[in-house]
Amino acid sequence: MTRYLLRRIALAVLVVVGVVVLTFVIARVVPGDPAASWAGPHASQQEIDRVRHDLGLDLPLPAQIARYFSGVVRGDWGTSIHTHRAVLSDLMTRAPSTIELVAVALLLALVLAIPLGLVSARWSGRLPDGAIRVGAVLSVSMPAFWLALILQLLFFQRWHLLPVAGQYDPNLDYTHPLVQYTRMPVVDALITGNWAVLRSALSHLVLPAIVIASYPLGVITRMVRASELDSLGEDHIRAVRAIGFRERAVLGRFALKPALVPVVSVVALVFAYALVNTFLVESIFDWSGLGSYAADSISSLDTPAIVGVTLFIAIVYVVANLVVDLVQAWIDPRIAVT
Amino acid sequence: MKARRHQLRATVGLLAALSLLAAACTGTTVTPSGQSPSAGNATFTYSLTSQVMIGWDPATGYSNEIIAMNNMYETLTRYNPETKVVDPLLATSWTSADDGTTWTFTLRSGVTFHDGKAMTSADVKASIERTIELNGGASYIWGPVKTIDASDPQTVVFHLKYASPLDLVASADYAAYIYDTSAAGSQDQAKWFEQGHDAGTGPYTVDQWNKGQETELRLKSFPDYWGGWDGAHYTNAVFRVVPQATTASQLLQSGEISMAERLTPQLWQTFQGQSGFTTTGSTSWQTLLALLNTKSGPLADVRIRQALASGIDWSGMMTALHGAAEPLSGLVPPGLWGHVDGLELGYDAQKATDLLQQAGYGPGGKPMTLTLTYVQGDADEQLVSSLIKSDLAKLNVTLNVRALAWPAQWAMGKSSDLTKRQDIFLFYWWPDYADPYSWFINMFHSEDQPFFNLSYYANPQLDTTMNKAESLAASDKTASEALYAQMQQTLITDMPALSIYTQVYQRAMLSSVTGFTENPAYPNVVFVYDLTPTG
Repeated sequence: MTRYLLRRIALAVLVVVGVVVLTFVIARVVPGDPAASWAGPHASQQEIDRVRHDLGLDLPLPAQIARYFSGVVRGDWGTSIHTHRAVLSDLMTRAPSTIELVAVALLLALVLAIPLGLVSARWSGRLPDGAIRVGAVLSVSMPAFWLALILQLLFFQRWHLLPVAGQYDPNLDYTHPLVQYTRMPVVDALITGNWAVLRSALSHLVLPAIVIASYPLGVITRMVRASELDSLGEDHIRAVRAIGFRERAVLGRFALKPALVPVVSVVALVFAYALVNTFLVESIFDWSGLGSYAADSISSLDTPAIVGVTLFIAIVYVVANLVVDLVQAWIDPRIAVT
Repeated sequence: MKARRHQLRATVGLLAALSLLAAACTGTTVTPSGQSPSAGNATFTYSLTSQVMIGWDPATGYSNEIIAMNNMYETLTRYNPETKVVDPLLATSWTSADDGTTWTFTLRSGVTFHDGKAMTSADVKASIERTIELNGGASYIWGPVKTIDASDPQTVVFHLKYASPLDLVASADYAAYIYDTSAAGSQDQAKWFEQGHDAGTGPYTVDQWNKGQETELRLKSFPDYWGGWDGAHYTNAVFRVVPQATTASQLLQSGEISMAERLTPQLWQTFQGQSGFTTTGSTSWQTLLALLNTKSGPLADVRIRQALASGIDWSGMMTALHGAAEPLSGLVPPGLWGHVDGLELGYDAQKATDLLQQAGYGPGGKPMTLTLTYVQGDADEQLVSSLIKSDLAKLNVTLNVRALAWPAQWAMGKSSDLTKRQDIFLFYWWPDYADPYSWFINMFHSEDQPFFNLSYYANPQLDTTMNKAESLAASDKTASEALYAQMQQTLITDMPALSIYTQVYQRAMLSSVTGFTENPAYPNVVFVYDLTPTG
């Protein structure tokens, strides 16, 4: 198991390095002079040259990349060309909101998808199965943007049930100021016992979380169904049935565990998808996460910020995959051996 | 930097097609909102499409931050688009002498900075000198200044290197703020600002800055403001970042925001005539120009540039923009001195065909291929490009439209390899202070290395005239205006650029917000103190 773990970590580091090198090269190939952007439109050539030297842009590309990595290791992720602020601190203020949103959405998707997939498999080919499969196709194919607008229209404008956008009611900043530790409003409200903000934050979380959960929900439901049906056809299930276990135990206890192995790897895939999908959803729901930061930095060709966002997402993605690999190995010890 | 302000529009443009669809929906399903607009609440919430506080230093801020800074800081004068001259602000009166090379400003008395310190001429001198020394953002506007004399506490005297309209410079929306240069105490001043502090004299001061959050900035009233707080004023101003126009429109419907900086024209129209809301549409100074490559490629021939000006259905374009733009006459937009009427481009397909055929192109002639670049994500520029493309297709001209990130578009325009440059460069321009000189010096003055003169236009006579116009602006505005009129005529003849339109600011607000007037010299700025909460 330790060897397996080490091998996975080594691979993960390689992937992260590869992604950064690639982003760096692409960002440098695109025309545009970051030093001139930094110095501003009225800067003299000497000033631009000075900035170029200060930012290390006069070094050859491999040296720049090496300088970048040595900075990353020391916690210096470069300085944004656009805001002149440290990229890492920018990311640390933005990332928690996005992670909170994606985590809640995935949790929501899992909590719904596993029972739905089981029901679908149990009554395979019958009415509940048909309904769930149609629902799954719909939730996968619904464009996030469209779904978001429909939900806003119904839940906010029509029924006045949920807020339209934002992370919590800004007026609460006056009456119930939130002390920020993690920068995730729900978590911060919970640990500080700020119930007014908690209530508001949760109600603001519902709609964007549903939109982000939509795609994973459909995919995971279908995966649970398919893999459960596979698993139900196996010999050990026939044996379990022959012994006379109740159908519920057969489905849940004996068939589900092996069926979860492929499901877990799908979760890792949809996690990456959800993370990127968030970028769009954030802008609709006025959610100040990584998405708006990435969009801003791309449109201003802010190389350090673009590389920073990419590096961050690569790390999150790789870590998530690592966790998935470990969970799989734990569910099915045979995986670690191969 | 200035170019950065493209993003304002770029973000709005994101998924504009789908917002249109949503507009159709909201248009039919709008129901009276459950929450009544929060009238009487003394908080004014302004939604912006992108981050507000790009930087905090009043010396170097050159982007969105001015929208908030103009409520925290003040300038010596403020431009009045009605009278086309500057009004007193921190200075109560001023005179110029020696043909505009010496300027004396008398300061308002009883003005205090937010830390309680009284403002004197020494502070004016110190802040402008610091701004000049930092040499960032729009500090170049103080270029004419040789020395500043603050020997009398209520009087500031500027000695200039050459004649310049310093009363206009002092009203600039960037780099002209008067601030307390000692507010940071022993700390580094620039670092102190970046932590989210202000050191102005304005009616509002920082209450809370939530870096990167959707409710990005809260300002609270400064009790000792020299203008006083008699009468109805908003006591708080909140700046909220709402990138999606559909979301901003719903927030406005519910009264969660008081005013939206910009919606799509379709969404804006849904608020027109709706009870509980007010809409305004005012001509701005944000002009969209198509800079034509006068140096290389087919457009080096003036006949073809003229053909382009006549071959595009300009009024059809305005219709397609749904009121978000108005035709621009000449270069200088209305509301700015130097503006002349009657220079709008007109559509004349026959004239365009004739001109092209004289040059051997056009229907039945050689095919021509042109490249146009614009800023990626800008929905308006995208629409304009596609309309130009379809109009030119009828003239046997193929237009390759390339959407690029601004730095890439600019780098291509400045390329030293002439074959790599574009033929048409779509570009927004607006002045850094209320002076038409800005368009001429930046885009039409000869340049050895192109910077913003991306028409690569060189006309020594025009160079001389514009410099004369600028120095006359300091002493004889009427004579200066005549020169600007003459130069705009020259540019129509030489056609180095097409004046496509000037943007119309379409604002929607709660009807409880009264007293709002647009001041195009301060793009997208709402002077919250001048508003009156009612209802």
